[in-house]
Amino acid sequence: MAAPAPSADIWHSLFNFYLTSAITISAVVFAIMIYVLIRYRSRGEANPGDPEYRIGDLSQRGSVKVAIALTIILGVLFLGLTTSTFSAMEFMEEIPEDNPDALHIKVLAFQWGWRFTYPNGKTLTGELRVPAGVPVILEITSQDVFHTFSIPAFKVKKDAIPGRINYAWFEGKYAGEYTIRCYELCGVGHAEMLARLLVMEPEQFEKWYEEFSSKG
Amino acid sequence: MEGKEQTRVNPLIVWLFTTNHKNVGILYLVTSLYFLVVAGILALTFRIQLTVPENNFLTASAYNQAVTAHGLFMLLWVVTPLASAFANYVIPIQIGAKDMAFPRLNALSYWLYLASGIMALSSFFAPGGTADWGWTTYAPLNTLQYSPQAGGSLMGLAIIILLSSSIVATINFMVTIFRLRAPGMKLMLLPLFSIFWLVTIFLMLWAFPAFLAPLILLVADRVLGTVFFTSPEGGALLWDHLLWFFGHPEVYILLLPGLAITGDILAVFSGRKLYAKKVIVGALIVAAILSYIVWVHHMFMTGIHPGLREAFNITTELISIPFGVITISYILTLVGGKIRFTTPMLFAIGALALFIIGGASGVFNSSVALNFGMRGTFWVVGHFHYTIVGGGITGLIAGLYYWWPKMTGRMFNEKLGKLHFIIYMIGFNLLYFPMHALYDMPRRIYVYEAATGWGPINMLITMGGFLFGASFILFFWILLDSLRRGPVASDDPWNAKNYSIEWNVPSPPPEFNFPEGKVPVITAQGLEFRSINEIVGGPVSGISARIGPSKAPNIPANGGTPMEHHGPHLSPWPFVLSMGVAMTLLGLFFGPGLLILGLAVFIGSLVGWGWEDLKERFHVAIEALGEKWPFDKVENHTFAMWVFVFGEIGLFGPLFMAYFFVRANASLTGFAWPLPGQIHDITLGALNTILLFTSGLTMSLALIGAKRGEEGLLRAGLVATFILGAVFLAVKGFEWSELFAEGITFGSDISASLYYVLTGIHGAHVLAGLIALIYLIIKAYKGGFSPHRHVGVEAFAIYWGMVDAVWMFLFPLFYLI
Repeated sequence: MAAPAPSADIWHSLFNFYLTSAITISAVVFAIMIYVLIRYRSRGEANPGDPEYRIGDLSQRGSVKVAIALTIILGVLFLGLTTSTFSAMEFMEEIPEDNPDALHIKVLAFQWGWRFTYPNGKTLTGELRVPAGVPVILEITSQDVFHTFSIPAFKVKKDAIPGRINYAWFEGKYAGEYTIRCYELCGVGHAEMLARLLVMEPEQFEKWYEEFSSKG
Repeated sequence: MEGKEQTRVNPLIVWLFTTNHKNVGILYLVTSLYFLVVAGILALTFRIQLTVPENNFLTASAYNQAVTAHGLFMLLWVVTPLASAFANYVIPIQIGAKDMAFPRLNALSYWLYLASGIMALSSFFAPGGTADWGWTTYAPLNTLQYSPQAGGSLMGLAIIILLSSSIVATINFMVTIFRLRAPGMKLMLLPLFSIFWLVTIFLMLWAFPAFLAPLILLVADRVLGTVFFTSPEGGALLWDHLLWFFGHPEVYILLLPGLAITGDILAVFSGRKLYAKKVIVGALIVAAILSYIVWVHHMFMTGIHPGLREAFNITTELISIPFGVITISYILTLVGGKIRFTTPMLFAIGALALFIIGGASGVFNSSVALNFGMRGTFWVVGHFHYTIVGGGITGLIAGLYYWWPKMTGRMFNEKLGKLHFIIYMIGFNLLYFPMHALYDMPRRIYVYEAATGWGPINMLITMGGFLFGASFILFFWILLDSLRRGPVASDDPWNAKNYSIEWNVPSPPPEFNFPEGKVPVITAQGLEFRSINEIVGGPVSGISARIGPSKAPNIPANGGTPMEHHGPHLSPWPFVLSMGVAMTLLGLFFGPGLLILGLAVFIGSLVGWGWEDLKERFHVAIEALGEKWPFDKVENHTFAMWVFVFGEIGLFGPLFMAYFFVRANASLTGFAWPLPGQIHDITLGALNTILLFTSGLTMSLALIGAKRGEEGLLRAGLVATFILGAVFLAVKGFEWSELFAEGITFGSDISASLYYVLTGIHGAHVLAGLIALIYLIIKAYKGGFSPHRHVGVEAFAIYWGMVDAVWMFLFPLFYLI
């Protein structure tokens, strides 16, 4: 099943890439570890014999070459993973400001709920309606404490901090209903700090928005 | 011999007044296990709440308090104190010392830790309950406006006392490990536990004061009404930066001791040397340094600059490399060995395996892009429990099984130990692994809707939690069973006497650890115990110990030989002082009677401690025999003071950073910062600068007097320093009262808050200095100093220089710009 937003698509493909790499690397490490544990187990000798180490012995075991090789292998692996995330990060963070169709919404977090202000100056509380296939640019702030705005299904997330404005954007591919949640502990109402995200067919949205704008 | 004197003393008195590192270690062990049980039960309560959707076992407020206290207890009152228990018990023996450098300060660390724990537990009973803002204590939820409960402030104070206790311990261990090692015991010869602990305390030395700074600001906000975290110039991000600058080093402080024990045990029970020990230690140091430059990875979603985020993404990924190297080296250590699967070994292998999983899930977290999904979710909870509990606590449990026979003289039931291991591993993985599947579920929500589909996984997690909890019941049963009827342990039950010194002495070791009249010496042939006279008499063959009588500290003034042991190893003052602190601070919340009594006890204990010193009632002969350059040049107290000053950088650095952060934001928010001279009188500031600077000169004269044995100069210098310091405080008090009269109070605005708190902290340092000066002056008039014995004066001169230096920053920051 395809994800309901381009940001979620790119997030899931990146996540799967990380997951595959993590499982592969850990599997190799665990395989070596289990092999070593079985291969070099003590076979029930009563006296395990003299150990190799001795107090006062500064001589080293192991070779520098192995250490350098390890560092390089790990470095290539991990830095490869890191740089692979930058393109995803740029896509998810680049606000499509130049897009004339983009819908600008001001998001105000408060204890405990979400208020959305449309370009027409009108507000909705606890519900955000947007058209499908159109980028939505969010200006997020908080009127009281630290909150975190997120649409988990879209993998969109940004902190809502009093006195600061943070930007995020998303685009719903299909009409549907999703949840908006707070992801930072913000007091006793944190768990119930939810809002409904309604992604609508563009025509339906237009109709609703006109009505909404003309309402007294 | 020494023991006989003590057997006549009431055992309760021995435990309250002990300063012996092994007793202090056992006190740490018992207390930290107690807090482990408390924090574990708290976790079970909120796991019950989350078992099914829409549950109502706990209220939101109770849930938030349980989550917060669980996190704070585990991080601050369980993991590091449990590691400290082993460090206290084992490290002096591993390095070949008879005790810590400062036995009374060691006891003080423990009793302050207990005092802070009592305060933290009491905070539940303060009006409105305890802190409920999550252990991360994000601003401005942590301010009085949003969390008015008094228990939150009490928890803040408790953490401040806990951090103070850790800083005292840090200084003590630093001096002990650098100066008290046996002749020939190079740092690289030490077991990993001692080496990693040294790195850990280096991290503590800056990280803990760096956490002290924001906590002082927070408590000031909550108690005095300052506006650090409510004003837009400070606020949420000021807290974030200060907290996380501490936060990442703290992670390694929690992890490293367990990781070190894991490595030592892998070597001991495979009979092999550690693979590439130098590489392991090098990687460790690299990781420790990196830990100071990754804190922004906790703030990827706060809207800070993308370039900064990419940079911190890279530094964070870099950390995987040294830990990867350490992990692989651990596995390679086993190659070619004869692996004995004892209980400690099983737990060490388990710790390594869990740490690998935690490391793998951590790689995901370093990615900024993946953070759009994972930030604030159960994925993160799963990750850090795999590293801190899986890698850290599992390693510490391995250590407890490993050193248990040494500490108690009793073996435990191996079969039950293995059963414990199996239940522990199943419970652990059932508890934490499914959390990765909840990568959409927010942390710290007390309730969730059935429609989310999170129910079944949470059910599994809670079952795992109870199984994991049950493994600890078995664990405590095994320990109690061993104490009651365990077979007597030999000196070396694990065949580890070639690995480290503690397995070459009786189980448990005698009061001063080594055979009567002997000290350990490390030569190319191995460990030997030689008589003290043989070492002090001249250079020991094969080692380069340079020893002179003047360099052996703590030698009684009456000229006794270093080996003679005078007086009891007991002092009541660390205990009494700590209880005074706890009573005073609890009195702020629970009644003025307690407050007054606490203050009386506190002041009495200071007088008592000073008296004990003046009368030389407390001395334990602990020689620094094997010291090398540059530590042969300084004396214990002087070295300790330098370490303390280094730690003060960790406190004042973040405070000054807070100042600059606020000033930078003030220009953005349009806050009108007072012009020079507008509020603070430049003349008075300049006068105080001159006073303090002059007092620095008089203190230098006093030190010169002490070194030359000119008692007149010494006394005059000390008295002049005292008078100048007192006048400084008087001028400061005059300035404050003038400001108050003008209506400028703590909470007037952010510039006033900064001024009062920063100069207030500095003033408190001056006041502490004056109290110490009273002691030095009395001692000087009693003729307590001589050209060879003036360490108190020297250490104080260093302290006073630091107090001067801090003012040299404060004066321009508040008066001139």
